[in-house]
Amino acid sequence: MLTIRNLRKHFGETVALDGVDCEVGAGATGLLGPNGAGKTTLLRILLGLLPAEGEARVMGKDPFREPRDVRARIGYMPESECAIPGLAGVEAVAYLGRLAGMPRRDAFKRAHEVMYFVGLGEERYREASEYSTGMQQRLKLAAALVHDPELLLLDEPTNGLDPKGREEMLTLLRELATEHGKHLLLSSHLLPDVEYVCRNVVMLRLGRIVRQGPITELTSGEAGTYEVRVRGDAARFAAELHALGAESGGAGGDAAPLLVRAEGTAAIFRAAKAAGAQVRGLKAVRRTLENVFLDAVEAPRAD
Amino acid sequence: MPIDIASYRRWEGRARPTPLAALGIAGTMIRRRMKLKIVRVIVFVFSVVASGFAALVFYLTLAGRGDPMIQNQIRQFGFENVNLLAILNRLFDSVIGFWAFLLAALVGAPVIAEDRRAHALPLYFSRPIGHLDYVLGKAASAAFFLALLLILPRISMYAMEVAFSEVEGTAWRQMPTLLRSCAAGALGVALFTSISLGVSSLTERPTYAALFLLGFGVLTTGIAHFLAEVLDDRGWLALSPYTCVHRIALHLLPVPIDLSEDTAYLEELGIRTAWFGAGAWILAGIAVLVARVRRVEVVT
Repeated sequence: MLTIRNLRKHFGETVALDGVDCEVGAGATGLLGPNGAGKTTLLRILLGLLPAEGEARVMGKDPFREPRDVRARIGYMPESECAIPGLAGVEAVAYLGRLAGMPRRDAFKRAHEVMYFVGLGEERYREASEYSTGMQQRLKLAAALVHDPELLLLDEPTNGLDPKGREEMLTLLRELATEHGKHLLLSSHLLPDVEYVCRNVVMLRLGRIVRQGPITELTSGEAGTYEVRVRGDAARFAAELHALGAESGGAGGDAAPLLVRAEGTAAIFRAAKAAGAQVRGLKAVRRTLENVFLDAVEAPRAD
Repeated sequence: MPIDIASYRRWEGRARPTPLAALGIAGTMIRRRMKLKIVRVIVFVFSVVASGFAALVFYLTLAGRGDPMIQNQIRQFGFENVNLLAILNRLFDSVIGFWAFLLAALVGAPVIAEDRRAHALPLYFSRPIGHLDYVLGKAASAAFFLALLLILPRISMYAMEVAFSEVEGTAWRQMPTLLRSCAAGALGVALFTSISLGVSSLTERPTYAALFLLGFGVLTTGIAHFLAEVLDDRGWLALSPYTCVHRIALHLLPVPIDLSEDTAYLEELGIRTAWFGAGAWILAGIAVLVARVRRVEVVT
């Protein structure tokens, strides 16, 4: 879907993107990063709204040279609250559909459908500027969907939503990715949002990509690390583990399980038998997306 | 939701060419403006004024049909054998300035300001349209209303004379007058459109933009006339945008006698200076507009 090579963007002295390289494939991909990491700038460059150094391809097209062709095939949901003033919700969506090249009649028909899809069916004739924040977010999603694009660029889609609205929005996005075959690039600084909707993630920090790949791979942790709870003499168990060449740390009780790095689980059971301890819990350690993200954004930069 | 219906995809990846995209914007903006009661009132009031002028043409044209009373009145004014259509167009130009500023403040000044206030520009520019489409679309919507005010009455006056004149070949004979008067109207439309959109791009508040435009009209006209009087140099009149257009209209529609006393004073402003003034104001409006819209896109 997206190919980005050595993308650089400066705003005066400020470096917004500093040599971004990544490939984004089909499906839903999260674009994670703290505020100011360059997520919105990257999305605007992909839309062809901002010039930049380097190379970018959106569905095989160059957004700098063919911005109209690119924009005709993608849907964009901006971060800020925005509306077409003076138009009812359905009129605004149809209008934006027409600007995307749809014939008037099709645009209106389609606008009604997407308004129902995003849950604004009953409110579609109200003026859009009177919508609540949650409704505005849904309206922006409807506007991004109206011309049936293959790829959706979503900039902080859950901004300003209450917990219920957020859950509904995320469910909609997940449904789009899993049931309607849309490709999503979801920019957010909220890890649970990305984890719920996306399979892949790209992490940005100070204009650079610090991690990327499938979430399952990034969170799989290191092979051979286990969390062990034992009943009995934990200190002796740890000593036996050391004797068998395994590393361990922690107390080992129910409150603070022992973290053991060993090749396979056999050494753990042998050490427990030798120490006269009972293994009450054993599981391979998985890292959370939050661990991965914090490691990535807190690690010192190479330069 | 049938989001994947194949028929929806027939336009996919096909961006509209510039004039069509701009027309789409203009059409929606015109419909939106017509929803405003104040715009409907202004358009109605002005249709009455325009109808008045058309009725005047009708009345004076009847003179050619031999009504002795009307012929006698015309003789008293000394209007025999002169181009009545041109005279009435000149009169029309002398009364239209304020109304044009008022309409421009209502239909031109808010168009970009309200988009900026609602942060609508990212929505526009995420579609396959460019700056030119956006600006042309907005300009066309303002120009449509201004043309109703500045061009349509001239066409109705012409139509009235053609319809009621007994003289053969009136349509053809008066065609140059119609074209010249419409050219003057078109110049006014271009001037008010560019200035009002330039002003509109300076602020996020539509009301401020409208008030600023009205203030601009009053101030430039006041200062231009003040300086022209005090310094005894009519060239200063070019500071007033509408005065330039009015002067050019007088030049395009020459007549031996006139109904308005102000025209002699205006004709002291050199025609080249008037063209220069009008052109400079149009370019200034366009320059502000282009600079602001480009910048706004990055900021939003």
